[in-house]
Amino acid sequence: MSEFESVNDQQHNFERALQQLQPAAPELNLSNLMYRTGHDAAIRQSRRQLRRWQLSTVAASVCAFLALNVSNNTAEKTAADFVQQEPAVPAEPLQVAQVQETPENSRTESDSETIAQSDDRSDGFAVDESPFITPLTRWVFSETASLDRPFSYLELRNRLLREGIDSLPEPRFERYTNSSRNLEKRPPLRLRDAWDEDLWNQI
Amino acid sequence: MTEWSPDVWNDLLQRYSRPLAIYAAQFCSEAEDIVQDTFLELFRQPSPPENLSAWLYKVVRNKSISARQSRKRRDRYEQIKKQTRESWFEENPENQLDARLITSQLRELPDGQREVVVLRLWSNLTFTEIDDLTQSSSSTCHRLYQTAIDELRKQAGIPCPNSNP
Repeated sequence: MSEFESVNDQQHNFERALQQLQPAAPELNLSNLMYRTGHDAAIRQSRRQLRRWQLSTVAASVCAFLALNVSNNTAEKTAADFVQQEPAVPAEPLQVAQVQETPENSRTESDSETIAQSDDRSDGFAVDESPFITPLTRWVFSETASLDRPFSYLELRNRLLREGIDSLPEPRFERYTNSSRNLEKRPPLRLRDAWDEDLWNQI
Repeated sequence: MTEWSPDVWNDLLQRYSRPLAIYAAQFCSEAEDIVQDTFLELFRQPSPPENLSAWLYKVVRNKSISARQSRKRRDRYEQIKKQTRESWFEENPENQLDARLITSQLRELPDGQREVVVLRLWSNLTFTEIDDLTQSSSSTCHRLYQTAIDELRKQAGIPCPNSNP
């Protein structure tokens, strides 16, 4: 036990003697160390600022891109809505029909219904609502209206509604002679022909 | 990057430069450069390490070992340079032991023993911290330390109680 204590004491004394030895101070280049530290700090700060500029530029570009897309989508939607709303029901034929209506030429309700049914349309005077009238057809009719060509039934009717009875072309009287031969050869009366006859009878 | 105040900076240098220098000296001859690079590495850290002492010694150890391994061709030259180098300690007439003698005796110790002795006596690290740093077990560190002390005492002429006369 005493020997153990003496071992510890001797070792402790030796350790204290060793610890008395002061390690030599290293010859550090403090100026170089400070310069390199400041240089690294400046580089890091500049990189941080550069990252901020890059992020702000990217954010601004993204916002501008989104704004342009939103504006373009809005414009396209407006144009699409406009196109969808394009086929409007013209009120003019109705007004013209009412203005041109005279006691002599007044139509009965049955005639109006006949006309409406012959057109296969519910309202009877609307031009653009027919499922058989395509834009191309409409354009063709509008183009051919200015030329001296045989009119189709629809063009004839539209012209009648717009310009009145005077706009109708001269009828082909040869069809309406009282010749028996012509009557025999006369083609079967169609609803359209009945409409024509009715028109001319009222003139 | 952590902003160190000049006072803290000076305090760190004064407290750790010497122990780190003697610790790096046992691995290679470029102890001063290694200590300087270690402090520079510390100042580059985004935040101070949790255990500053352990971090410093770890970095010094890794850098010292890397420096020694990268210059194996100059071992012979470095050995000669070590022999002619001044002691690792400051000369003080009041010291009981001879600084150069102790320095030469420490150089002759095996690497493991020398490392544990230097860390224990002049870096004031606990055995737990030495275990973490050297990646060895506690019993191994104690054994190495005791063996190194006995060898130093034997070379210093101080008899060991366990040795046979």
